[in-house]
Amino acid sequence: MAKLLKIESPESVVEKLTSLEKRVIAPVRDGKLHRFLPVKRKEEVDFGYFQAEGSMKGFFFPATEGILKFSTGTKMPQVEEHEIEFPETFVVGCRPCDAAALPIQDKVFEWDYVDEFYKARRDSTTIVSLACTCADNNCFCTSMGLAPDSPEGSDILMVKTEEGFLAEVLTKKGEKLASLLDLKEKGSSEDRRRSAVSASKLITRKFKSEGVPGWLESNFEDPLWEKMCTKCIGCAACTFVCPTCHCFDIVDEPVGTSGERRKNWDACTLWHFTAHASGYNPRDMQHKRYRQRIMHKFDYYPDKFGKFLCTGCGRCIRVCPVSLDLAEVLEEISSRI
Amino acid sequence: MSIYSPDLLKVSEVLPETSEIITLVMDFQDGSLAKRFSFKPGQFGLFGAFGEGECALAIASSPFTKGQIACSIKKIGKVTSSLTSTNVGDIIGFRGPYGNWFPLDEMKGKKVFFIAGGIGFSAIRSSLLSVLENRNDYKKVVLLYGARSIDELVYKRELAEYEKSSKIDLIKTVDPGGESKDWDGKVGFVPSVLEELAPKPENSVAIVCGPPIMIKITVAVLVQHGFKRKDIYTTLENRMKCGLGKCGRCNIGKVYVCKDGPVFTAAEIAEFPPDY
Amino acid sequence: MSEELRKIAKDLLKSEKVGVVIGYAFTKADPKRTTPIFVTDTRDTDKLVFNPLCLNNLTVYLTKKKPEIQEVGRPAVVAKGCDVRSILGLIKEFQFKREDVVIIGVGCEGVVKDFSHWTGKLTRENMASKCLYCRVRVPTTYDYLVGEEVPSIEEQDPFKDVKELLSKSVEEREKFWKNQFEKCIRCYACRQVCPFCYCHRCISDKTMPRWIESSAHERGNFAWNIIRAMHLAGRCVGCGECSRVCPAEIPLDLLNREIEREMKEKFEYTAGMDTETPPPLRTYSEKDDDSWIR
Repeated sequence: MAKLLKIESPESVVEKLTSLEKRVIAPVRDGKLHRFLPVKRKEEVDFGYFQAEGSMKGFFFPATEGILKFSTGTKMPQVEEHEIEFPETFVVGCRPCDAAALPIQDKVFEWDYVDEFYKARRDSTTIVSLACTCADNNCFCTSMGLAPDSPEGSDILMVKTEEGFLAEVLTKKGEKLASLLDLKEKGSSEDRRRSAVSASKLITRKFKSEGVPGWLESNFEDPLWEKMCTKCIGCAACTFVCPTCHCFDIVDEPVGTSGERRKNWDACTLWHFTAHASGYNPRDMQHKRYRQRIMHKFDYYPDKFGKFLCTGCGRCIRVCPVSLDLAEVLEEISSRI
Repeated sequence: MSIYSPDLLKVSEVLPETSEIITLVMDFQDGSLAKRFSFKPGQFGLFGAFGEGECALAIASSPFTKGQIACSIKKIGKVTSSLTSTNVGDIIGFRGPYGNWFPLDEMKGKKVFFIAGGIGFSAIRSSLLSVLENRNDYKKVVLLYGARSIDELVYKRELAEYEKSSKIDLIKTVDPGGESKDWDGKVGFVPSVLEELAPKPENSVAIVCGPPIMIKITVAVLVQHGFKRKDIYTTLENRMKCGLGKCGRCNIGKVYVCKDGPVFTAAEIAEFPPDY
Repeated sequence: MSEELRKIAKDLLKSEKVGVVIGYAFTKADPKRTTPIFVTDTRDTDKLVFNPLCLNNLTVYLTKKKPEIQEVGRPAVVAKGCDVRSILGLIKEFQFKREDVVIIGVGCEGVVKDFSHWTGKLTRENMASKCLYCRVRVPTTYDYLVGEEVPSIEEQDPFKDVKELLSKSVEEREKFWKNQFEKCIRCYACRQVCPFCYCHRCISDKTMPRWIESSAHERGNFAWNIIRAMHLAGRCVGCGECSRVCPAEIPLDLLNREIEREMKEKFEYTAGMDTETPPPLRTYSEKDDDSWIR
């Protein structure tokens, strides 16, 4: 059972940590959007936000990341390892659906071969999430087995209650932070229970997801794919804003005779993703590429790691240039089971 | 060292195979790794040219040759173009060995049919050399090898040896139109030559590699002749980046070619969704 | 308006004049959001709508990026005045012939900036900026027209914000774009949504040689965003889709419109107004400015 402590406010966490000169990542208003950015003062932060443009995925798995340096000027190429050390970091105020994406990504990057870049960042980061107090029609976390106040992936979950804020201390890292923040006063579990009830009412979009993997398994060539997904225009907006999508490319980028080998975000929705050098492309049509996205999230990944590769954050729906609604595809599938 | 960091190999030989294909023979630069390194036939590696990138290729040498590996490369894209213009003494990056392998131990006591098309031979050469190394463990060994034209046949030196050898039955063929006047092999596509050959399925296994369409038809011919799908092995090549089961592009359904493959039986492939 | 549209669509499909009607429908989940729809069955024509929430430039589906749609049969497309401009541009670039597409033109009072801004009523405040200076509220070319009567609005200077930015120093502008491009995640939504980005193999995907670094870092992002805009010089019709869909909200249309402004100033050319006027970058003229050649 998690420890419940009283906490002044999310801002107070930022204030304390920045005063201790810790590296803090928090939602910052940037034009019309909110983005997760490093902050130096609590005034830079805006917790009155709905959802940030991108998740904080990029702090663990950056859009572009050097994995080694090389120089080829001489007969013997010089190869230099990239530093795999990252500063202690606190992410404050991310949504539970973003926090829940981290254990999902951990499985990929720490399965079998361990991606040390990812792991080092994860190990040095403490996640302090903030339970949602609002939602829109694109949120569907409850259908993914989560909730607006679910603890998955958080070290501390902050919850706004009628009485103020509660900190649910969930892990060792969370305990360490709680003592750093000097949290002592116990919170009321009754208060927490009431907040959970109101959180559960936030999400109105609900569908049954249990049968989805089974349906996908046997309907690879269903006309649904063409019907619902042909409008996909083949960009990577949905996958890049997705907190769980993790596909990447590896490229060498030299300037003159030296450069870096980099690991960059890549996406199954882009046409070149599986195109062979010969010109042959096994996924030659857009609906096949979008099908891969759904299959990976709701059949392949769950088959291997036991949960959906999706937290229901709804970003992919909000950003889609052609309003291709992933939840609608799932609802359609769900209605056929 | 991160999982993405390559070991260094020094090119000791560049063997021209065809106008577009070369074989690189490479020595490990790190002495202790040279001693330690081992792989199983069918496994692959990511071969890289610094500044160009990496490319997944089958290790084509014998697992019994220590401290040295070879791979054969066809000039197609960015990385292969760079690798095919490599000179002796150049340094190549290598990550591996990755993936599964042909279960040669399980094939002991059986007839082994190697069937290859074009550069597909490179993916099964390691197995062939391995079987020949332990020749007495196997019954009959047959190699049916074809390419579009005489020029496009790889490992011509070895083919000449095999022709004289009693250890192996070699049937070589070129596609119609690819022959010359003095061509002493067969003329016809690999599956049609296989049809003529009418291989007996009893106590037999087949190892097939070549272009996707060749694999597909060859497997059909073998099945027609009574081969069980589980006794037909092939190796798949999907576009790959990491080779480590992470980058997410080589999957066919639930199967990751880099981790669960590249070697599959025809029985396994029959279960795949049409996504490769 | 939607009723009229549905009738035209129904007739076109029934008479087999077209194989598919590309139009707008509300999404299932959100009554304030529309999505492209490909109607092939007369029974589905009831789903078609037209209103200020019809943001997409559907002509992207007429390009070779989407061969699967044209395979269904000759397309009819619901097009606003600005969208018709891209059809004319595509015809000028030999992407298809005028007779290959049936244009269902729609008179348009303007569309909303994005779905989240919709309050049930279109105002100058929630209207997409392109609509504030739109001169083609009734399409210039069409086979069918729905909604001929469109109230006029007080037109804004189309280059107001461009000029504002240009009035700043080079350093300030560099800083502005640096901050903007820093946000770019290279998702290529701007490219994929653009009817004029129909290259089979985009320069950003080419690796032999690699012209543009694919990494989302400063150099790669500058190269990508500037080349994207430059490649649209004299071609971009200002539909604004690139800016609308950018998940990082980079004002890409500012770049496009600065180029549009220069095309107008230097070559007296506006893209997508007809299918005849030769595009300047494809034409040699003695009158062209050559002062930059030294």
